[in-house]
Amino acid sequence: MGRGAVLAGLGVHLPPGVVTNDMLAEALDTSDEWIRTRTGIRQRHIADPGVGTGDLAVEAGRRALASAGLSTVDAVLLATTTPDQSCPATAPQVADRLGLRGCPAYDVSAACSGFLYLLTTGAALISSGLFETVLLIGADTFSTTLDPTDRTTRALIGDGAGAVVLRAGREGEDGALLGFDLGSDGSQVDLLVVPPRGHFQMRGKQVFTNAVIRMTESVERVLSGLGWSVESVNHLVPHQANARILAAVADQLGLDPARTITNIGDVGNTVAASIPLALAHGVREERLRPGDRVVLTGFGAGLTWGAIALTWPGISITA
Amino acid sequence: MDATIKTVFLNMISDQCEVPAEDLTPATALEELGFDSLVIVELTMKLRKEFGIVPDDDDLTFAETVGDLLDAVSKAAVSKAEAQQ
Repeated sequence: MGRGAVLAGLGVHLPPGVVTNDMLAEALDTSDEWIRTRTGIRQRHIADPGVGTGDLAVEAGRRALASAGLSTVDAVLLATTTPDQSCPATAPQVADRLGLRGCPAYDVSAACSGFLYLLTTGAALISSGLFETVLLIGADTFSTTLDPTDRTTRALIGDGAGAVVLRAGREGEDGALLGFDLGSDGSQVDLLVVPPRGHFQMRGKQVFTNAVIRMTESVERVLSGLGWSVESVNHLVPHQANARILAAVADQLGLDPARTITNIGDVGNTVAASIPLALAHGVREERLRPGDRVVLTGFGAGLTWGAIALTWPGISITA
Repeated sequence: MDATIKTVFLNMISDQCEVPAEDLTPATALEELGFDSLVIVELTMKLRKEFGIVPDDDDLTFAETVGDLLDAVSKAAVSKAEAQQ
């Protein structure tokens, strides 16, 4: 077995403020029933004014380092679509606040597929031999992009952060990242977009169709590349876009829906943070066990999409 | 092929809205069936799984009747058949 990247730590952070569906219904023409039946979401965490993506990223990063038992890494990469400022990137400040001043640090932007682009980049940096350890953080305060009067997007989006540590290892180890698929289609930018000086807007039905097809095909390519059957996958951990999209992806793949890990009801769609938050949920629920075959997938603005296959490592997360 | 797909789709709509297929006419307004906005998209995903066809997004967005939906499905089936020739 050759050199590979191995998942060595996981940490997440949610801002404490919770907005329930009933709270949204007090301000907008919506209801708990309307939101739950269309999205599966019951509540979302929203960062207080003055709390930025970097603040959430630092907490998740600290916990991922603790989970990995490390105090230092060779690089810090941050996936976000809502950086603290347009220039410079947020990652150098996050690295500094984590006591990692001096190490290479930069942002990766791929919206809801951000964590998959990040993991692929981090794994490649390790597999190449350039680095031994990397801290990869997905964090967004995407609620700041929303039109306060838009009942659809305000129901969907939550804020949060999740991080993993990758270390150099062998491809045969538990925790090894084994298969990667990424893609984009810029011709469909209008489906999900935050226009200059505007608010986030989306075309719901087209997003639904594209999300289901792109995630399904991406997962199928990764499985085919590894020679894994759908039946052999223990857990699908998709970007938490909408509970009905996730159900449709499982149906397209012919995967038992019980194998999909979902926490969208509690956190909503947290953009780049969504996959690590779902992974942490799977660990807490004791569903993700060492050696399990896990496939991550996501779809987002760009359009962008991707899928990654790994085996689950024996790691623990701190509260 | 085309007729089969349309029949399957009509039965999917019938199951979903719990109205007998024979009571659904091309003129039946989708609004009357009590669907939420995502149900049609979910049904077309099932068509993709079964027949490998995906109706055009615009055709679905502007569909107002059962007939409009069946036309969209038919158009997608024809496109797929032409692409295979």
